[in-house]
Amino acid sequence: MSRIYHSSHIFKACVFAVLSVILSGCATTRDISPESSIHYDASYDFADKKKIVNHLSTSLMQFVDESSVRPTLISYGIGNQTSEHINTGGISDDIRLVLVQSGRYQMINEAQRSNINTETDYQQAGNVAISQRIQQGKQLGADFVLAGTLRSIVKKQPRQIRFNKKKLVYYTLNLELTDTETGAVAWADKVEIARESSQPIIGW
Amino acid sequence: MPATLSAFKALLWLVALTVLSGCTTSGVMQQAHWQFLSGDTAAAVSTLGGSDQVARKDRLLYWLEKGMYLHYAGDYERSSQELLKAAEYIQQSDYISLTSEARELLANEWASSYRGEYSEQLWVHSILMMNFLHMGRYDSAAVEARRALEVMDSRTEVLKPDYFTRALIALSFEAAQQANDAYIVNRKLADDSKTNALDAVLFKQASTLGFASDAVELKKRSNNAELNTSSNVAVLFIAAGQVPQKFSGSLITSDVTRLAFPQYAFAESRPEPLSVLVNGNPCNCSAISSDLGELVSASLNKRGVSLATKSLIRAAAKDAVADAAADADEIVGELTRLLLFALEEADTRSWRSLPRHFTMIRVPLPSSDTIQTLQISRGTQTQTLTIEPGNQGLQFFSLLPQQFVN
Repeated sequence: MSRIYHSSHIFKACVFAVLSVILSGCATTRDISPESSIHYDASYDFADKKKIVNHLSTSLMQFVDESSVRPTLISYGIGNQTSEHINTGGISDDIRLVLVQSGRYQMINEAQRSNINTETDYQQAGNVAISQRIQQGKQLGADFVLAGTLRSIVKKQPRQIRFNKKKLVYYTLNLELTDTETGAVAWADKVEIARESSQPIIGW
Repeated sequence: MPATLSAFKALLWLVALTVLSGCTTSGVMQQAHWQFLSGDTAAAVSTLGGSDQVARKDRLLYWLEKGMYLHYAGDYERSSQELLKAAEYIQQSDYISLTSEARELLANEWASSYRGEYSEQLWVHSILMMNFLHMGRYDSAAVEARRALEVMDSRTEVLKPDYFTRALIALSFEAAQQANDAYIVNRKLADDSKTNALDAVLFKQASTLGFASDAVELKKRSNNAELNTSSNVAVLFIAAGQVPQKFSGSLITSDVTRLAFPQYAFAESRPEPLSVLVNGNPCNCSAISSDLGELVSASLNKRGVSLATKSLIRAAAKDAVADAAADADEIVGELTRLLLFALEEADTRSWRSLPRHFTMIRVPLPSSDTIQTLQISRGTQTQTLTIEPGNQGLQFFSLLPQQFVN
């Protein structure tokens, strides 16, 4: 009898231990490829950014011939008209990087204008030898303005008896090159991403 | 003897449950609230410290209160950080939690995590919009505007009368140069609120967007009066009073059964009329207000059926537990019944640092190369603001109740 009682206790302890291990979970970390496409929910993530940058930068590079004169571009950023706090600066920075590396465009660094002015003023104030001072008035004028808008349409499943709630998100990013001389849109393209996510209504 | 032991165990379990249910917010939150009420917002922020100081179930309240204290203190960056955490928490809590439901069934609603009234879930975005507008981050303000619209769409019947937030949504779109969205929201707001306070804004937006027939109609509606369409506008966000607090109401259905439900200590209130002088001249300003007391009370009433149902189920469950304990041992049964009776307590948690009224005033400014002054008077109290020359477009100011001085 005593042995049975003892075994029962051991069995309970084992069950408890197994449950503890299962419930505690194991903290893990792993590297994943930046090229992989993993979505935890329907919202914007790094895979979307990669898709947008790849599509638009490829399209922009096809706009000019390798042999033609390199047009000068200035980027005025991408407006965020979604319902998520998305840093669209990351998209425009990556597109700029691809364009600069391709050698087909010259990009004006608008963000550094104030710093350039500070540096030039410093040099012209007599702190730098005349021979080493940069010449003013030689900055490039932009041939085109690069700007765009990221928009989203979110549709949630209406309230009804169900176990999961579904959400549809449709993102579209329109990018344009506007000729600074004529004001005409010289090039335009867009990327579309549509995704559905489902989440349980009941949980722990 | 084994039956008595089981009943004793059940009693111990109930005592533990009582302790765990904790029918009060944490001491830190209470102390911070008193400091806030006495006007020491900096001390209130400092008292709150890190979010680990409060129980997980009150984490939302922590972010809401701290975000509001920081908003009042003019620290819009940190206020936004706290309120964005609150917004994310609300979004993630949008499911039925079995553990919370079980806790509520056995103890009371205090035992589960606070998720905010519908109106509070909307105002997270309202305060965030104001913060982002103050910081000049107009795209982010517009993001919050869209999120606020999502919340409004999900609870239209309760939140539709929040004219202040609706005007704020339109303003955020306007600041982010999303004129079409701003016009749509303003147009609906003007129709619902039956006000002509937005005629000048609507006229300007309709003209800009090329909606010629709308512009003509608006001009006619204002009896062809001169509509001030100045591009330089000072926008005042004025907070007044304090939002009503919840208290616990109860209904004793028998000697041993009590149903508790939250209520708002709600009395009708109107904000004192405001007058604005621009450089000493009367201003033809438009004002839009919301009574947060009415809205939060309507939000609670909307949950009334669900709250009453839960209370009834809980009462039945508690009766069953007490009866089972009494079957084993009469004394333990009675003690259990008493304990469960005492445990029935309404959840009176709420976002307490909100004002009672929010008013938005648009003040068109004349072009000027000199400093301009705005004098805003409420009753015998006056607040003066100065606007530096060269400031163009929309400029935002927040005025708190304590900023009005005699």
